[in-house]
Amino acid sequence: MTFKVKYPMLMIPACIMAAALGMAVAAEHAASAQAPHQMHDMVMPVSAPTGTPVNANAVAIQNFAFGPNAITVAAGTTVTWTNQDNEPHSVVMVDQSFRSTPMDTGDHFSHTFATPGQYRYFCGFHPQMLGLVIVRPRNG
Amino acid sequence: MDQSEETTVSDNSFQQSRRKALKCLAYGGAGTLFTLAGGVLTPVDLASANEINGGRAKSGKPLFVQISDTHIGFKKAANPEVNRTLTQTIDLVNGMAEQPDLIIHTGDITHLSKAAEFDQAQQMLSQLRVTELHTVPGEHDTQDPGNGREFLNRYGAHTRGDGWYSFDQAGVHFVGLVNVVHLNPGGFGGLGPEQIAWIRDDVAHLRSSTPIVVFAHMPMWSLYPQWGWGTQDAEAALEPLTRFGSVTVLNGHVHQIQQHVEGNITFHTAHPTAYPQPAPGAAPSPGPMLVPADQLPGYLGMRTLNIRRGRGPLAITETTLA
Repeated sequence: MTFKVKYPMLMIPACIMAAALGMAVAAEHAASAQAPHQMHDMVMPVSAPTGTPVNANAVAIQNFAFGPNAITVAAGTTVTWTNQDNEPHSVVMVDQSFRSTPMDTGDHFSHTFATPGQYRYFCGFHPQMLGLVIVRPRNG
Repeated sequence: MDQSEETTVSDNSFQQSRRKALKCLAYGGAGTLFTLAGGVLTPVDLASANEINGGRAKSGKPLFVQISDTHIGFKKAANPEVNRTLTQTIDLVNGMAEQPDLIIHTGDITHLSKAAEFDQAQQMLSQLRVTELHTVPGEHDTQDPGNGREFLNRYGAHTRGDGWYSFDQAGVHFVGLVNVVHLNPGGFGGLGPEQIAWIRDDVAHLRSSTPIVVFAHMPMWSLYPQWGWGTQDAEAALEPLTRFGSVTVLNGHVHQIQQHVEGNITFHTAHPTAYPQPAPGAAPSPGPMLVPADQLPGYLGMRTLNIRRGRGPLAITETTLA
């Protein structure tokens, strides 16, 4: 499965990148023991596993990332996402319980979380973008 | 084609004399010809190819043209005129001396999956002289509440599942795959087990000498995981194709040409017609890349693929709007 490449100008970037990425991804993966989702049949990178949850009901989308990417709210709270990127994004629950319509630049999407639990989500355009909403009991 | 003085080789900075540039023009497009012989992907500048092969006649009738990432509805600075650049691309195709059998659009027809965007795209694409258009959705085409229903209502008539299908043309077996519906949170696009099982059945009866063309929106190899540029279960999907002598995988999504070889399988992402994106890792994130207006045409374009009888590999020509 190895080939000599006659014109490195064209092929080397992809080849080197693949090799370099393989190593980088492996290292990143090893360091991400808290990977927040199921791995499937190949080693997958996890872009920015959700950080320490913060109390917030607003999430900005910037530079292809949800910020903060992990939030805690009380049950009954409405969470609002705002796309500040030059690229559309969306909010899709990993459990498929709901998905937003596409948000173009400046668009908002809101959802009220009635039931306590942990809600993992990603962007329906860019699956590498992850987020988490922790809903605690109203008086918890 | 009205490319005259400004014609240059598309991506690869081959230096050419003006005489050669004109021969290149005579061939029918600025670009680089790729041939695959013994697993070695060999780019040859078109002027030389023209001299070696005695011109267009021996290269054969173009089998098909690939266009990608038209993003109708996009209006931002990276290209405020995506309708115009699609029209220019359509004009290039319509201006080809010999019309290809068919056109393949590798997805992101629209920007936001809106019905009006699909309608506009359909109206524009209907200006192609070649009436046989094949397509698979990009993730920008599946964001409607029906998760791809708008796309399937228009292009899904003879497809299965999320829109996958196959057909045969000129002895080549074409397989259109959908890797933008079963996205993997935290990772890549995905095809899903049902589609992979279908691929295995679909090619089971084919002779290994049959040339295969696979087309799907997201790259079918791990191009740049940090930006989600890949397909999680691509390896399983392509495994039934490893016995074939010639497998060409065509993708879009990354808005630039990237290539990869695994065994007898060659992978090529395509130029968009809408707007460029940064090279992997060249910016903090992917997304529209602003380039000087006079340079934009060099980032946009189309791809022509020829089949050459008895030679196996498809010949690939890249053409930009520059």
